[in-house]
Amino acid sequence: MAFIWPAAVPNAGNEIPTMLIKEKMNQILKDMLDYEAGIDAEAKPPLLTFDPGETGI
Amino acid sequence: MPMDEKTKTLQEDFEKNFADLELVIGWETGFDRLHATPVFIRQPSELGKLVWNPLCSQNLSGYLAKNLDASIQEDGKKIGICVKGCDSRSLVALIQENFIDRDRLYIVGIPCEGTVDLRRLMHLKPSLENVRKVDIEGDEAVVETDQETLRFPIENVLARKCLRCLYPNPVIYDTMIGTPLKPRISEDKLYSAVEKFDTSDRKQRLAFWKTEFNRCIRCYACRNACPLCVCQDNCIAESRKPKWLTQRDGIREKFLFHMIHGLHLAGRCTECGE
Amino acid sequence: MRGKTFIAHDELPEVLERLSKTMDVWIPTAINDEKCVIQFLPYQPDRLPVLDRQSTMPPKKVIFPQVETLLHFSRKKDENDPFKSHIELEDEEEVSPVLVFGARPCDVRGFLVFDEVYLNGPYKDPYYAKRREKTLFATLVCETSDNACFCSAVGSGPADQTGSDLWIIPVDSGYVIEALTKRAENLMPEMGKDATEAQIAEAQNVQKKVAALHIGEGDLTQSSDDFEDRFSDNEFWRDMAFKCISCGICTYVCPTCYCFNITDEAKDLDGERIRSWDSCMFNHYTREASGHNPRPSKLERYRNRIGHKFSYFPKKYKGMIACCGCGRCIRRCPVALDIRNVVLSLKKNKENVDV
Repeated sequence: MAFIWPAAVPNAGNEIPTMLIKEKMNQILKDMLDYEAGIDAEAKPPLLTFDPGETGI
Repeated sequence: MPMDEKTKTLQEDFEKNFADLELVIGWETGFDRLHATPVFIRQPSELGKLVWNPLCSQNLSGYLAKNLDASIQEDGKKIGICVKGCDSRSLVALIQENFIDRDRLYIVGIPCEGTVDLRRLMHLKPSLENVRKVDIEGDEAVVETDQETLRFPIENVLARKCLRCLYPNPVIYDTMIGTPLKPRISEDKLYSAVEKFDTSDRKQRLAFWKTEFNRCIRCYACRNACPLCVCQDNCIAESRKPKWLTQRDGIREKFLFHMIHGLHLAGRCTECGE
Repeated sequence: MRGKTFIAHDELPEVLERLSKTMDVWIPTAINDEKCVIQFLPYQPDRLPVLDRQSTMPPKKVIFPQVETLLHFSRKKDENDPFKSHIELEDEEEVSPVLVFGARPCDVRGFLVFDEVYLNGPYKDPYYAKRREKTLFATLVCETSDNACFCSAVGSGPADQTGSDLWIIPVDSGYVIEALTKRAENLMPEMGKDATEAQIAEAQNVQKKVAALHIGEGDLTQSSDDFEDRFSDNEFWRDMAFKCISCGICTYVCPTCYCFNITDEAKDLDGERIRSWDSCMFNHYTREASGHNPRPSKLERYRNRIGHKFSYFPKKYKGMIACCGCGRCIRRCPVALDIRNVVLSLKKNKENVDV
């Protein structure tokens, strides 16, 4: 019943696999927009819409 | 290049350039030789503390955005920072989002053969004492203790993120220590865990997350270690206005928190695994 | 008083099973038998105790749950005047007796710190008190330590029986059990067979061997004055706290950290007042309603963590420090921040901070 980790990517001990959520999103991003985060400092991230000058950040 | 040599080159490089730097952020040996810990060096005499080894897992780029004003240039001095391949991607993301000024940094990039996940190592060998050195040699992690030398296949002890790393080499740097490395996997295998996960049905996936998130204690270590979680003290996971989450410790809260964390990183997450 | 008893390895589940008929028996246990995360959970037939290493989380939550409902409230509208309403309150129910089986001396010591604050002060915390009264501790003499352990440096030790009701000594073929308090004696008939002379002798040897161990270096108990001298040395605190990432894991895994938050979680007309663990490492811990925060950065917050444990607390409570030396905060810290190093550094180079 439980999800079994693929042999190539074993369960990393006691870590909660929150990375899977991010991996899934990055997979979608790659498929839809052909973008990978943090590769080219000159590129504008396609989802960058918030303003770092916003108060409280 | 062997690990000790890299450590030496690293120290020497910073010594050479220290006149232009006000601070060096790197790793040093922690409370024992099985742990590395971030170190912040302001005096050249302390550069000898710097180390590089497979225990240097912490991504140091978060300190630049959260703890240092890395955008204002005062006396022209820079901040020196050590980055692995994955860390350098976080730097790029922070530079893209204008949290850090590239010109303010002196980046020393280190091609990385992978970091050891201590939880995995301790699971295989709970009573690991008197460790002298941990290194990676090819497909093996080598742990030297006072008594013996132990060898573990890397797939059993490396952090999961390292086993599926496409960018072992820094993507942005001023100096690179050692020679670039080949990734351990090919690009088409990058999302094999996700693909496998997608084959299970909705009920199975829900059951999986329920079990996994049950262990979460809402300590926010995952959020605070994340270099891109820049809201930090104003996170909507804790704010009462707006109030998205209660202070309860049930699955609902934990699930929602991790989904919020995930979605706020959409298009930003560099999979550094912090 | 009944003598010592013996439980063989394969009889342990049976004993726990029997005990759990009359009380909640909490054991350190691993989910999925992976021994990666060990936490205290109520005994069930499919849960085996993991006694060969320290638990990841201390048994703190047995008496001080991470979240507990203090009361339920509901607004009832006045039948004759819909603009008027009154509030009905409902208290929580009774708690059942509890045995914590397989805690370590450091885990139990944590509750001695709690007791000072929650029981022995001018105000007694009824929620804590009702659980505390009904909880017995069967503690394991501690034979496994690692580089993060420092119980002897805080005035305790791996064979420290303070705060325990029953004492468990592992021997080759099982465990020798001894009652330490009067209230534990009624449990002894459930704790296996009478131990033989040989088993008792073996247990005594183990106890003696462990009692001779000194875990951790130095003495952290007399640091109050050094802390006060250091208080305004901002450079020192900047250097100490710089690597801290302000998460709450050190306080959540700490057996002595007792701070909480109270919130009303309501929807429409009904709701609950809950008490949940808080952490002094969080920015909003001291944020005031006006928005002002007397501890605005991690420097002040980290300094307070050290001060509270090693200076303010012992000043207020008979010299007892609020640290049990279990080492969890060091072991679990994402950046391996070492509290021992910080406390020992208080004394060092007072003129010229260099750490």
